[in-house]
Amino acid sequence: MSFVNHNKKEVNCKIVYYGPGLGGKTTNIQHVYKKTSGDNRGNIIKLNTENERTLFFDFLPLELGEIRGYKTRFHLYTVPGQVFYEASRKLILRAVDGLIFVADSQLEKMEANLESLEGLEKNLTEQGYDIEKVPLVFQWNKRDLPNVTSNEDLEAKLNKWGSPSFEASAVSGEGVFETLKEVSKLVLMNLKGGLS
Amino acid sequence: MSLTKKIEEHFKKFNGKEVLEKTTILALSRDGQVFGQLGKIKSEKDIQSLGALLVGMWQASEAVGEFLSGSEEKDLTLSFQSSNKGFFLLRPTEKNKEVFWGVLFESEVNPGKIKLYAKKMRSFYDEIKIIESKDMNNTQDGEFLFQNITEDEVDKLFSFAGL
Repeated sequence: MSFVNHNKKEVNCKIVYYGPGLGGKTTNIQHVYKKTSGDNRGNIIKLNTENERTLFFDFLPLELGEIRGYKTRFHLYTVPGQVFYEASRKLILRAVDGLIFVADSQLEKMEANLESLEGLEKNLTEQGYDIEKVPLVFQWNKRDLPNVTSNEDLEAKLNKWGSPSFEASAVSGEGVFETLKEVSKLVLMNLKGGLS
Repeated sequence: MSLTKKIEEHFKKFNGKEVLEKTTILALSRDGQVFGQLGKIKSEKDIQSLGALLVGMWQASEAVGEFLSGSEEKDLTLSFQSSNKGFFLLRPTEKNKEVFWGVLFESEVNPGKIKLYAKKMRSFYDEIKIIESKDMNNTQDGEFLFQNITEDEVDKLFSFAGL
């Protein structure tokens, strides 16, 4: 849940990167970390398995600039993508303010994308969220690979809600900030209740 | 007075200088936001990371706890400690249902003393009903804080990354 501190003129929001295993969620926040100076971010926290797969979550606290006099602080989380970590994904979705669904563009990953998206819808519903009301941005990742699904197919099969979407190659950083900027804008415009 | 300001004011009033030289106490929301902090660790960024980790751990433990039958325990504590350093989490009270207390300590020959101190502090804060305060500025209701954000404003937010 976002939190507004009027005395300090700060807003705090939680953004979660969701998507199938090995789709590039951790690579996204690693790129954000690399491109951000020490003044703007804290340490990246990774709770990984021995072979570097996300076990529980990755976490990066990010201080953006000011907007209309308010300092903005975003907490970026990734969920573990592997199917059997469903319970962890549910926990990390609690109090989410915005979502980036990182889809793997490779042809053979469509089924995994669909399964992960179904899981997202289900988990959100279980926690009382309506996916249509949560700021959501799609990222078509791994566009640098040769064997990818067309954008049209990805949009048709995954983006039922007509949410904003961006092509990306997180490993080179392409599209990473564009996606984050869009969801940040949606999240900030969705903030309520602070001006009384 | 805002929630955070209120907590800061109360933290200032609370005695225990000796304890706080080797201890850090955090008041945390269920999603890891830090409402207030007191004690040794001062770095804002470290505090945020601690908030996320401690609450994540609590949530995972709570999920494991759901596999256990029996009535709900009212005073659960989650701890990780050696004989002289470690950390623990205290669950919310009836009055502050959404506030978790995270406590880290080191070089302490009597960890029990820290736990007692933390529980005393939690009781102290029950007087102000933190989460039910009218000053709680979560963003569930009311007017939009920012309307019609422009692309320029978003670009400025991310100017640190040289975009």
